[in-house]
Amino acid sequence: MPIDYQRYYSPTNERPGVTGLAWIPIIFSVVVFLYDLTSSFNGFRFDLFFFKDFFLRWVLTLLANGIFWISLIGYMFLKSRRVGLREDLPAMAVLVLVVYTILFHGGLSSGGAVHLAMAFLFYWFVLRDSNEIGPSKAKVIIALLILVDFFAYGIIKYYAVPAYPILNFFSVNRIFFPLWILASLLMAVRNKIPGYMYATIALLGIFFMYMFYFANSVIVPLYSANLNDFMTSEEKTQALQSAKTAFQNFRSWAKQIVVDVRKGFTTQLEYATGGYYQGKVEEQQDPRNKIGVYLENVQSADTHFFENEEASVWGDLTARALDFGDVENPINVKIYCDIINAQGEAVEKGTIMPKELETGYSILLQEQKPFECKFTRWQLAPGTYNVKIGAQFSFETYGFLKTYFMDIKRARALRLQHIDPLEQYGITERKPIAKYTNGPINLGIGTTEPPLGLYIEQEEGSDGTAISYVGVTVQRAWEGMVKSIDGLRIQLPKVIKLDDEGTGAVAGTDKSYCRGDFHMIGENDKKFTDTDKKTDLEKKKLGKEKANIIAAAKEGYDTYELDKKVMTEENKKLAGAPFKSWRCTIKIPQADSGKVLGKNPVATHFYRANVDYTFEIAKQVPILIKSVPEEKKLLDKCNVLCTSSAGCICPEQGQDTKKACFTPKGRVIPGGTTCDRYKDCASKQRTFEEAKIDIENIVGYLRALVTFNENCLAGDPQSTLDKLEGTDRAQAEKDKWVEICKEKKPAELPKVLGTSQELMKKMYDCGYNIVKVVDGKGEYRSAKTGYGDVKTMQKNMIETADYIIKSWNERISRTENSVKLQNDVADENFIKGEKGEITRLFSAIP
Amino acid sequence: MKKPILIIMIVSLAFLLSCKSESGFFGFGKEKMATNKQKFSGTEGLVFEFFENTPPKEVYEGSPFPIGIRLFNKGACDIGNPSTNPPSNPPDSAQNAGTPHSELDRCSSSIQGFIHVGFERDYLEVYLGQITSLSTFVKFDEPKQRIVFSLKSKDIQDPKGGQDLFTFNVKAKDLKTLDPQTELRDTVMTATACYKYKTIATVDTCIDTNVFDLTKTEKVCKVKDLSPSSQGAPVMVTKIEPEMTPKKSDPKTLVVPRFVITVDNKGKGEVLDPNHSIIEGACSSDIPVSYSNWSKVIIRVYIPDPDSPSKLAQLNCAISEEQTDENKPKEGILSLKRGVDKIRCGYEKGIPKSKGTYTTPLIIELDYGYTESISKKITIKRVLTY
Repeated sequence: MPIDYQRYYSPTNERPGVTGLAWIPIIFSVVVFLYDLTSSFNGFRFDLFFFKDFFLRWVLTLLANGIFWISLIGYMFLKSRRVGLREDLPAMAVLVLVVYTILFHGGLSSGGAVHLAMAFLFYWFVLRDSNEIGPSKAKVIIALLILVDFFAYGIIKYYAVPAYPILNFFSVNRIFFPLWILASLLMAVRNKIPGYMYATIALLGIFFMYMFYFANSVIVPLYSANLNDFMTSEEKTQALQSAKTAFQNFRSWAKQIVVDVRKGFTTQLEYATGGYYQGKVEEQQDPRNKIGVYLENVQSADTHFFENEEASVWGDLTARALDFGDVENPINVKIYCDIINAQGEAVEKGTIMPKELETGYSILLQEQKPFECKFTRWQLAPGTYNVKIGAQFSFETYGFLKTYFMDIKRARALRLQHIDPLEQYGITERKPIAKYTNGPINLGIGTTEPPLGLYIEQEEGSDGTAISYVGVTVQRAWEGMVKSIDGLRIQLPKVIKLDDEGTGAVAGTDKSYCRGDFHMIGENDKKFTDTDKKTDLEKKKLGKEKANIIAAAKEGYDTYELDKKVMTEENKKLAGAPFKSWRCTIKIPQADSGKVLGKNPVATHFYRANVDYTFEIAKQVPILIKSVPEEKKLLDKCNVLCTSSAGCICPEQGQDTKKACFTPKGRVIPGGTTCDRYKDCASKQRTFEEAKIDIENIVGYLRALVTFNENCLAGDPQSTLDKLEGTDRAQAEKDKWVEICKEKKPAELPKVLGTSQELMKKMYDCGYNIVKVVDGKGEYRSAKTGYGDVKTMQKNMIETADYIIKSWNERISRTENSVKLQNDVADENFIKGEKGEITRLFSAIP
Repeated sequence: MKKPILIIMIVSLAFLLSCKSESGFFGFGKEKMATNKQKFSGTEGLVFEFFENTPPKEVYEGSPFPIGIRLFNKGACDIGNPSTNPPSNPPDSAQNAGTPHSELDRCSSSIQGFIHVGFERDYLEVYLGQITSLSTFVKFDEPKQRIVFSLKSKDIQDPKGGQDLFTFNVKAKDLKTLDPQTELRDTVMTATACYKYKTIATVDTCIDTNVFDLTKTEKVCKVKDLSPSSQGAPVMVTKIEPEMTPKKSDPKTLVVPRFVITVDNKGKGEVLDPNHSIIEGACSSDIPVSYSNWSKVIIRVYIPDPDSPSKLAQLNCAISEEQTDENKPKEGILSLKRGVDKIRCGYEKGIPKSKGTYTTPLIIELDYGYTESISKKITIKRVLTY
């Protein structure tokens, strides 16, 4: 039974309803969202929360902890004055229990506190003030929201998702499903707080984002992971990348709408001014029989891929045309797949399987061919990518327009009598619209509004010639691109001729029409006779074209074809143009009017057109590549750049050369280097001459580091900082070694000197390895300079070892500013050990 | 059920049964035409239609199929000269006028009707160009590519009117030759009929020579506007507004009765000049039909001659001035605008006042050509092989 609040509240206590203060929880919910994003807080891990004896522990602590009872008693005391205790008590108890459980069972962290604060604000400024909800219900709602906030994500993730992977979308994480933002916005809209329109827009925006997540199939890979305490930064990055992709797609979609609207406006304007000819797709016996070439069921093979496995996208190529049975003229389809960037440019190529689809596949009959687009292992670095699958194919579209002709006097007479001339003669389709066959191109045809009046008799002030036109518009209909128009033909009944006067016809040549763009073509045209240099495919195509022209002629039609030169020019403009139109003038002299009409008071004739073209359809699908931290990429070539931040493993020998890489097999190189560029100290590819230079460099650098240490201890490291190179220099600057040395901070000085000492040890080890390889290879034996260089190399390394050890000992034994390091003894033994080995090497040298 | 209601129902049923006559309940189902009044009723002349499923709604490419057109003459006048009812000479002038009630004899035409069948030759072609009909009154005029027909009107023997049916075969062309990718195409078949027709309206009107009611005598009738019912033709006289005016030249002794006659096209078609060539031209492109030839109705109005009641006197419908020359044509020409026009016809000779007030038949004859079209959509389907 509902509670009668009026019974308990005096008029002055009545809540004012949700006010503009509700913006406070909305704003704070955004802060909480950003907090979650940076802290990766995601509530409780359900499996850990409900460990063994949880309930027993919960009850015991509840009994032991008086806060619950104190809160409840306090609340009862305060409320008992105004509200009937009996009605509000259960709701309050639920709320207190929920908060108590969170506070005293592991939720009292900074993240938990922020979320509880959010819950409080939401309750205080929204639920509590809502007249339609009421105080008890408000408490129950906030308790439920807190439970959802802390537990729901974890519950779905650990219990429901394994059984129903689709729930991945809902398990999400709070980045995708920001509970408090959504709840705050919803309540703001529902209660129509001041400025709630902004909240509505924000909600719609979020809704659209969700739609695009779905549309891009990003959600599943994105939210299979949880951005909680146990989440890696990489997964979080991937989530953000996916969100970025979704946003980019949303932006592209919005842009496309603007483009389409603009295009539609332009088209409408062109139509109004006569430059655009309409048409509609011809009906089919069964609408399910789609004529054309389609890419269907294009989808990623998995929710995500690891960079060390093949990434693949599947799909079906479906094709159907009524004349597919024409064995002489199959439809040729080529498929490709690319990774594209935000600008739509291909940045990485994939491989299509089966291969024949990539090279060109002929479809003779209705066919459905499954295909796979593959990216090899390590081809793609971790991240989200848009895979574009494209199919290029040749196709034809046929169109026709019915039009009517009538004696002009008869038409005028009827109109003057307020009689529709066409209606009078039983014509039901009085304004025919062109129809064209289904396919990637719209082929519109236009002419003057019928009936076209013809002069049967001479009329004063007129030469008796009826003037009209036939216009043709070629417009892309499908998503994709018209790669090229390969032929455009207009067919008119023989009794109706295109006007050739003043259309650029050159004396002595064939007549041309439509401002010189078209010419009449017959079966004896040159293009059908001069076929010596044509390929078989071209010959077949010409054969088909010729057969069509002959058939049209038999039916009483003349064919006019778009000139090849004009076509080439137009093809250049196709990419940017929304459509392309041609308009040709028709003149019917009085002498021909009788032929056009025949014995009919109203004669019906057809204008026909057909266009053959190459079209490219494309579909995009996002894929998510995840890194494999445990496994380093095995490079297959010496000069391939390692793109993995974890580093890469060098091969034994490159595929492109039998010579081994500079870096030996199995050694790891850091990201951003190649196996040939990265100079591994133990590389056997290093020549004796190179080794000589490298040893000199190492010795020089070691002495510089020793000087740096001494100067640092003397409080003047700047003068020797320049001795440091590359990453060491960067590290020194980053860690403010100069300041540390200058101020001689006792706490931080050992850190600087320790790092420097570690560098010395590493560098000396490198020199040792170089010397060892030099000895092993024995190249020095054939050196023209004798053994002098080897001996110098050995001497330098031995003396440097002594120099380093002496420096370290001086540091330890200084009377002032003495610094001892934890690894001093071990490091000294290490250097001594390698020095001893170097001394032993080259022992055979005379 | 309550008793009083049951009694009422039984009484009602008994009353209904008592209304049964030889021709059915309330005369429904009566087949025979009892009177001329029934003959000259209705607003239809020639009614024609495509016979059921000829042509069919859907046909397959390459297949022949029949076209059948059924004709009915549901009007009161013959079309052409069907031999079973040879036409008599039409009363083109007062000299030829017969008795006031001889409408049946006058209502015929020597001009045959024409039908032009139009179809889109890209899709259809005539197949085995034979035209067959139920009677010999439908023939194909090959040079002019039209059908010529005659059809008897309804009469006492044939209350439904004359009817005929003609058929011929056409063949749907192969769609593949038109367009290799098309699966179906719609085509329209039209039939336009052009014929001469006549409307005869006979009403009793009041002639009142006591225009200003100067002599207080009881009048047998009163001059008032008349609205005749349908006349068995698509064009009908819808209103007659009588006017009795003293004759200008002799206002003391003579009264000129004048009638403003409203003519309305109630049919579905359009009205034409009744001239043979114009009617022929409306169904063909051979003969031009100009503006003045459309919506033109020739009207002739008669009353019994006051001097010799056995003869008809023609009223002057070409009133520009008083006609004294009896040889001048008296017929009027109506030019319908949106199907309607009015004309004034008067007996300019005048009727002596001594005749007093009396009722007399007024016979109105409308002569016109009429044309109407019908059409039917046919879907040609391709024979799919997948």
